[in-house]
Amino acid sequence: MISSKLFGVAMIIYIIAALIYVSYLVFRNVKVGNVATLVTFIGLIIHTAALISRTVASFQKGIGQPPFTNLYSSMVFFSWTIILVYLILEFKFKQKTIGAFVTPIAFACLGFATLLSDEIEPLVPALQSNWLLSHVVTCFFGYAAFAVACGISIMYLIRVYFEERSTENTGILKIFPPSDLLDELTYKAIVIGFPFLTIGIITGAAWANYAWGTYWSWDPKETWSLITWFVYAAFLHARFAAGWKGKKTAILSIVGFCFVLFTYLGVSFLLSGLHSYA
Amino acid sequence: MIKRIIHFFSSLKLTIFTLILLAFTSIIGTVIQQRQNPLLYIQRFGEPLYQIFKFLGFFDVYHSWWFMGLLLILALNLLFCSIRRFPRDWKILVTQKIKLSETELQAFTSKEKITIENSTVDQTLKNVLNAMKKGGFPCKEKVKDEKGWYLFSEKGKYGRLAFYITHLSIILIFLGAIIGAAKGFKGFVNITEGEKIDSIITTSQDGKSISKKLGFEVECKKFEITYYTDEEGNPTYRPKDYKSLLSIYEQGKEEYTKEIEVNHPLVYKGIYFYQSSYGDIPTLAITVQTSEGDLVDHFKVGEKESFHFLDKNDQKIAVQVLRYLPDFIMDQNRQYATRSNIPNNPAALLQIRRSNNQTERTWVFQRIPNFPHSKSTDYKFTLTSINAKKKYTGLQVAWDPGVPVVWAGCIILILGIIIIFSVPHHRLWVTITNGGKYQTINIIGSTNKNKPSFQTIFLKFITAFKSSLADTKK
Ligand code: HEM
Repeated sequence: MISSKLFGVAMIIYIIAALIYVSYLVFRNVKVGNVATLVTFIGLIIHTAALISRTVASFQKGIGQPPFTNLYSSMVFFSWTIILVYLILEFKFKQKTIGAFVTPIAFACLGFATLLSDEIEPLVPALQSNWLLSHVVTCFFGYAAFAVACGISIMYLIRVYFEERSTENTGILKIFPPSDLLDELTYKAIVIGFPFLTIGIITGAAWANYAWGTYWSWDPKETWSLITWFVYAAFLHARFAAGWKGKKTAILSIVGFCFVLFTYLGVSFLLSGLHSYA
Repeated sequence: MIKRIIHFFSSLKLTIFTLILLAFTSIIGTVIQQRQNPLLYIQRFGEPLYQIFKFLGFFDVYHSWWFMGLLLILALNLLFCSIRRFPRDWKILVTQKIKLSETELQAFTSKEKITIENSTVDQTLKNVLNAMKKGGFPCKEKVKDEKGWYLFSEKGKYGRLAFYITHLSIILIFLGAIIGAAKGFKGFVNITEGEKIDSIITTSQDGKSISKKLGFEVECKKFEITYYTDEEGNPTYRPKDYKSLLSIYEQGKEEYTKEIEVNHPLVYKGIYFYQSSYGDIPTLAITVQTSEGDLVDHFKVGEKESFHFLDKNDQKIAVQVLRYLPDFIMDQNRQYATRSNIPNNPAALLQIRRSNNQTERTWVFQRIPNFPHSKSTDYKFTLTSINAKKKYTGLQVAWDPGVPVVWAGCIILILGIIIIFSVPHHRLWVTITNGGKYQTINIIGSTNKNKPSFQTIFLKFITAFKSSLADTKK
């Protein structure tokens, strides 16, 4: 399929972008940074074209589904949202160093997808719904924002680790943005993700109500998305409570992303339920 | 004492604690399958562990007393927190203080001091008002006293209400869920094509099936199913779509008709009828032969139906189809079941009763016509074909009067979260202290969230403000 080839091209572009971002980290040259952004953007365009071509192919086969209803297609879509959310954040906060930590995640998702079958499969009746579209899209934007937050939190912890051991402004400390800014950016990314996850859970409930007659049935996937939601709600409130800044919230953000990953992948592989299609 | 209770229930530490505890305890219910047959649990965990888990409510976590307790704590937390916070916000919304005292002025982190020389108060006031507008914070209110002027400006005042919208919406969702649990019902019904029903089957608290009258009748006029086709265009057994044409009758009169399919339910008097499954009402063709191979008769029967014939002595032999399994399998424990609804291995369990009330049972298989019968039978039964012209439609029936409340809560929650994050309340106080020939201008800014990004806005304002003042001086 053409789309699979395009996804492969996007994957290669992302790994190149990651390398350029790393050299930007090291050399701090504005031009290198701009090239990294440009390359990532080109990757995103090709990735978008691939998603469109997959959707078109699906309609031609008479199945006509949005391109994220099995693990392969949801993976390539997830990777796409990560890059999109990252570029939006980069544009808003002008912090290119984070790209070195985010583009590899997008690359890894696409890489993982290439191990799966790219077959376009027909949908069971319960999945033929517009709610599915809004549900999946919003959830994935939330997941992507949390992925970016997790990347920034890891940077934060690395930076703090070195700060505690050295007072000189060298090495990592020279390369990474100041820890306060990283802390703030983690928060910003979660502020983007949280409304999306909320809408995702609610549209999922609306879909369940139309498809199965109950808006909430404590199906494992539903429950895990709620668990994730609890963790990020705890994160948001922790920032207001005394003493919960910096390290503790960074760890909470990383734990939150582990929950996201389990909601997305673990549940489908390890637990059974209505969502076991993806 | 009461004060301490209020303090406890309105604390943010309790919020974090409850949310994290809810998150971790929710995991239990996704690891242990919920609401299964107790026998399955005992088999899996053993009797002692089963009793402990049962006591802890691990087999129905989300309805256990402690889970409900956690949700109750969360609800109380939300309520107390909102109540405790309200007077302060109300003051800010309704009676904004324009004149700040010296100590209040010291408390803010965003501040700036400018001294203007060779000007009058009135001239400076005019310039300051102009500069505030240019800087993006036009003056909303001003007061004067013997020392000088006090000016005030703000943005996103009503964004403060988002806190209440967000937090109370969660209580609204809880309320909706409680209404649904207390007054609603959930059940299912299978209707054969052409049949009418007036009651459904619901499950009571202790797991028993009970029949519930609807107060009207539902007819399945027609049931249709289409399958996906494979590469060569042959139909497969993967259903693409199934639809039922349902009609509602009130006192025998047809009131409403709708074709339903998955994701497109019929709603009547608030009761939802969802297409959830379907099945065959098969007719089995059974041939009876004597042990010598002479034909006795052919019969066409459905599951649970009977037929009979006469033996050599004109004695009646009655045969009932006890079970019909379209896709027969048997496990190690000799438990039989059907793997699917697809007739891959059709089998029927027959009960044969002689006139002396002697009964015996035997399985017959369409694919294995010579399957050995129980020895005592002097007749041979063969399942020759399965005819599945008639189907039944499987409907889930639900009535949940709490749903509108839950949706209202959800929509308010989404709006609240979006506003809480995107509409900060920025306040700006500008005081002009008159020193005769010179004036001191103090600018103080405050925000209810995200101080760093407000600091940038504040500095931008100061720059614009200063340059505007400088312009007017020229
Ligand atoms: C699941 C339940 C809850 C949800 C979804 C929720 C949601 C939110 C959100 C989205 C924010 C904004 C955070 C930010 O600006 O970074 C917030 C702030 C806050 N929440 Fe909650 N909340 C919940 C429960 C509670 C409870 C039980 C309390 C009671 C103490 C509480 C107290 C607060 C406070 C004091 C703030 C700070 C508001 C401000 O100063 O702007 N929340 N909440």
